[in-house]
Amino acid sequence: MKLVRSMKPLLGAAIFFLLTVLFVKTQTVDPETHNAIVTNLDELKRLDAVLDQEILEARFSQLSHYDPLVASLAELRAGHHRLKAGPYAIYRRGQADIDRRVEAYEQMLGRKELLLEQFKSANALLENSLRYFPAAIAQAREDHIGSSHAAVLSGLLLDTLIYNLSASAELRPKILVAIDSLEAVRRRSPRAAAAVDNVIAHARVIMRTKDEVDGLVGELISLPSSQRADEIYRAYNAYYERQVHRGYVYRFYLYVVSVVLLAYVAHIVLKLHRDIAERKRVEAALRASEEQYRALVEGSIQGIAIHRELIVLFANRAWAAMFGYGTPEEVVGLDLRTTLATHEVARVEAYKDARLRGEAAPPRYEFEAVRRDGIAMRVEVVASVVSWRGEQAILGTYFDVTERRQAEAALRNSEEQIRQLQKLEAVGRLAGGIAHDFNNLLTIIRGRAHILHGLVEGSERQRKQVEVIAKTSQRAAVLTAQLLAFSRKQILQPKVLDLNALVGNMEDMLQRLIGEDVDLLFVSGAKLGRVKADPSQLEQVVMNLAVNARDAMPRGGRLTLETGDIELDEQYARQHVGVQPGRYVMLAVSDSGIGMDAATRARIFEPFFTTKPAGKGTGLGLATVYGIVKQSGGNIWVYSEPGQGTTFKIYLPQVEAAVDELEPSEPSAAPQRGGEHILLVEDEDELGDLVREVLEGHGYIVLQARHPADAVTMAERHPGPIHLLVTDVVMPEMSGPQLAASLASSRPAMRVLYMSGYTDDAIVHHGVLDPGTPFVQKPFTPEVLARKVREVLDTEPPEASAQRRGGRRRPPVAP
Amino acid sequence: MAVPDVKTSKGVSTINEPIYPIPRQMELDARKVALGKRLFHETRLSGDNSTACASCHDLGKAGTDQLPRSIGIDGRLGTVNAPTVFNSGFNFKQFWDGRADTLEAQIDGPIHNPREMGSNWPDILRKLEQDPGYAATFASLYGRGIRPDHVKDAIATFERSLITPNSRFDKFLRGDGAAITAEEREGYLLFKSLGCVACHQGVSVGGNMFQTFGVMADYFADRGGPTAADLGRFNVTGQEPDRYRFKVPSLRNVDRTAPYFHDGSATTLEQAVTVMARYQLGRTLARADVDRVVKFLRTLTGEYDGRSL
Repeated sequence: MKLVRSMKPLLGAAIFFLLTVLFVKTQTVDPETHNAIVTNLDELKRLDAVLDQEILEARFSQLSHYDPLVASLAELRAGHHRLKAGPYAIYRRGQADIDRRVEAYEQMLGRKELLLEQFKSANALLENSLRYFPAAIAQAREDHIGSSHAAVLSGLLLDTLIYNLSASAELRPKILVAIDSLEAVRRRSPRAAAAVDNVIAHARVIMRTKDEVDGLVGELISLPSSQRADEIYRAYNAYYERQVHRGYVYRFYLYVVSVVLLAYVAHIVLKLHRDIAERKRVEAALRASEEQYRALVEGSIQGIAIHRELIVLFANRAWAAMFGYGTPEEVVGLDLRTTLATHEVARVEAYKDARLRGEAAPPRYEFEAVRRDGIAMRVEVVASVVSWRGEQAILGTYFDVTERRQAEAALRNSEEQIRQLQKLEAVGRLAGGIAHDFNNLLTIIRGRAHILHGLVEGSERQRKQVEVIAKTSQRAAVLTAQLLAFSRKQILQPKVLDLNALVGNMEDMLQRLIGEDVDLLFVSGAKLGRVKADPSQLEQVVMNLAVNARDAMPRGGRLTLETGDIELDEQYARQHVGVQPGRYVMLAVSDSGIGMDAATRARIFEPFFTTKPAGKGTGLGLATVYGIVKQSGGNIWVYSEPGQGTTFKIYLPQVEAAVDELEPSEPSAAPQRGGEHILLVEDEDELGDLVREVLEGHGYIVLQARHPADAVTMAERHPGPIHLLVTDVVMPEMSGPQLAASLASSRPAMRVLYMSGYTDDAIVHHGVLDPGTPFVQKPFTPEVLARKVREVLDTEPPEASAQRRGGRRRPPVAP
Repeated sequence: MAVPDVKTSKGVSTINEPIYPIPRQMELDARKVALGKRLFHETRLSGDNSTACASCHDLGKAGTDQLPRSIGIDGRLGTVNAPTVFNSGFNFKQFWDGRADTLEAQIDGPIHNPREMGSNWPDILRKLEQDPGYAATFASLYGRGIRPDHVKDAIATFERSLITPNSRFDKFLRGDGAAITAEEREGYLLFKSLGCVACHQGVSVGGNMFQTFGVMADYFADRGGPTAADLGRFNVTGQEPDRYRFKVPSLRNVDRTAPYFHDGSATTLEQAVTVMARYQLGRTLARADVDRVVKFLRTLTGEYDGRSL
């Protein structure tokens, strides 16, 4: 790889060199030079032709002087010189070939010049003799050489001139014969010797030079000068075309190499581009990874710290914040021992040492820690050994579990609450069931005792006995009522009321109740919200709590009643079982008494649980309070520590409504009598008999039915009016309201009075009596029953009642 | 070859005449002509700084030394008669035997000839380089460093400028009928009819061909005392036909360039014409014809530098 890299510049240089070489190779003969060479060769041929023509002209006396020949030859020489010098730019072998041909041309030219010079010399002689020959002939004739010889001279002249112009040797022998005959004449006739000598001499010159000149001309003309030039041209052209072709080939190579080089460059650029993109991608990935790590570590709400020998090397923001520091930088170098509760140091160190030695150590454990600001907290840590900058260190992930532990405690508390609630619920159901049956029994006992009291006349001792029965049954009724209240089975008649007013009205009575040793303090909340509750029941609650407080303060103290608005939020609701978030009105009753421990607190609302000496209390007071508050939709909590007094806090839901006017308690007058017909339905025979007797005792005519079916039959059979239906609510076969409904069509004017001692029946829903329903609560006394019957009979008929609902009731009118 | 425009001269008044006029001027680089003129007169071109080109080709003596044979350095006698330097640019070859094709090539001859200037190029160039004037002039004309070619070119250029136009005969050829006398005109016609013009033709009236000396009779046998120079062109080519063959000399200014022939044997024109007629034409001319021909020849004297030679 290294070798390849070092080769790269070398490779580049090689490619560059190759390109340069190829570029040079593509440079063929430049057109101008090529044209000059071709033109020169053409010019040589042309000059040669001109020279040949001039030679012929000179031969036949058509040229007055030789300067043109000299000039043409000089031009040929110059052309040849150019040919020799000309840059052919043809590769070596071709150049040598051309040079050889040019050399051959030069030799030919040399030959031509030699011949030409000889031609000029000979031709000058020939010309001279030919020019002079006619004159010489004439001279000889004038010299009287004889007429016979004149013909010879004339013939010779003619033959010589023709011979000069002909290419044939035909006349040559004849001329030679004539010359010979003239030689003879010269010998015979010395007088004509000079003239004849002249003729003979010039004839011989002509004969000699004519042949020589013609021979030279023939040789000159046939010199292959033009062919030599053509050969040069052909050879040159062949090499030129080869060169051009080679140029094309190299141009192609150049193109190929260029394309390859271009592709290589493109490849490099692309690769570079890819490398850059790849590097960017890797950098982005690294950055993303770094950011992820940073986000994970820095953004983690869990504290993360790395330490060696309990000295912090690194910690994230959450860890710093968890331990009360501002920034992660601050905690680097911090000794973790300073963050441990003193009693935890040894344990944590032991874990650390074990972990580093590779021995067993809990990977996850909890310890008590102390924040920088001194606040204690519970921390859970998950620890592991990691490598930090090449050395072993411990990575810990820290969780602040303080709140979780508190929540768990709260949960345990809630579970206890639920358990107690369920217990109270169970006890309540039991008590309720007993109370229901007791009500009927007590009604009978009280009724009978009442009647018996009236029958026992005179005997004070007997009357006292009956009064004891009545009194005891009265107490049993109260007890039963309390049981019902606790079990939330009593029938409430709630009103919208102002708790301040209710408590305020009770102040005098409470003061009397708690005695002089205890101070009563009522702190009433301003602009207190309204609540909806049964006022008499609420009074019962306050009274019971006051009594409980008094009993907790045997040596006196202070009883504080406090009211106020309060908003219970979600968190409070979570921590307190059965509480709905919302606006409440609080009533707190606090004493400065002996207080109670947790065990007592846990059972305080249980019925019949009491700390008072035997016989001092019923153990139902606080149970009753609990039942009433719960039945009213509220909550009650007790806060107490031994020696610290006790506070009961009652929360009742606020309502947005105007305060109902409280009906003034009616004066307790003697029950009024009547004579109307009353249909009585009661499946409890004893009770039914009692009621019938009480009603008959008050003058009413009673039709007694043992169960609803009887009642229906009796109502059908009875001819006269039935003014009132007095019925139990809970019965087999048919409930009281069902019965009333079935009779309503046939006897629309009939009124209804229900008897009930129990909440789980048709006229009471969720412990609340249906408004407008005439009702007498068991156990009732004969007076109460008689008064209620009269009251119902004196009200308007159901139709009218329905029409005038909400109107004030008319005072009872005697029939 | 500084042949004037032959082709066009054919078509003017000289049509069909074997002789045509010398052009009135030549297109040449005046600076080279000037340098060449200086070199032409430069005695340092000779081995002993005694002899210049002008020593034998005295422009004041019609470009000759007017001696049968020239005297070189150390008083040595040359082998042939020095031909005139005037109109030498028109000669197709230089020297009597035509051994130099050009004026430039011709210069090498006298420079090295021990009978003439007896020198060599290294010596000459060294002498010229030492002369600041030459060095500067050469540098401006040919670039740095004087070379033999530069010297030759300058001298040859000067020699080409040595033309002699405006002879009376040229004026006659150009149409001035009164430029020559009737007798001179008759001499010209004789010159043509006798056959002289067979060799002496062209712009220079000669100088464009070789011819054997002694065509119709043996000149050298008659003269006696043969020399190596007598062989003429044979010395150059070794060809038998070239024996006794010489460049036909120009007859321009022939009246001023005596003595005549390569051997300087003819001291007068009449003598020369007579010899020529006898040996070249095989004729014996009458005295009157000789005179007429000579009269014609004397019309060929031209002008140089505005003055008749």
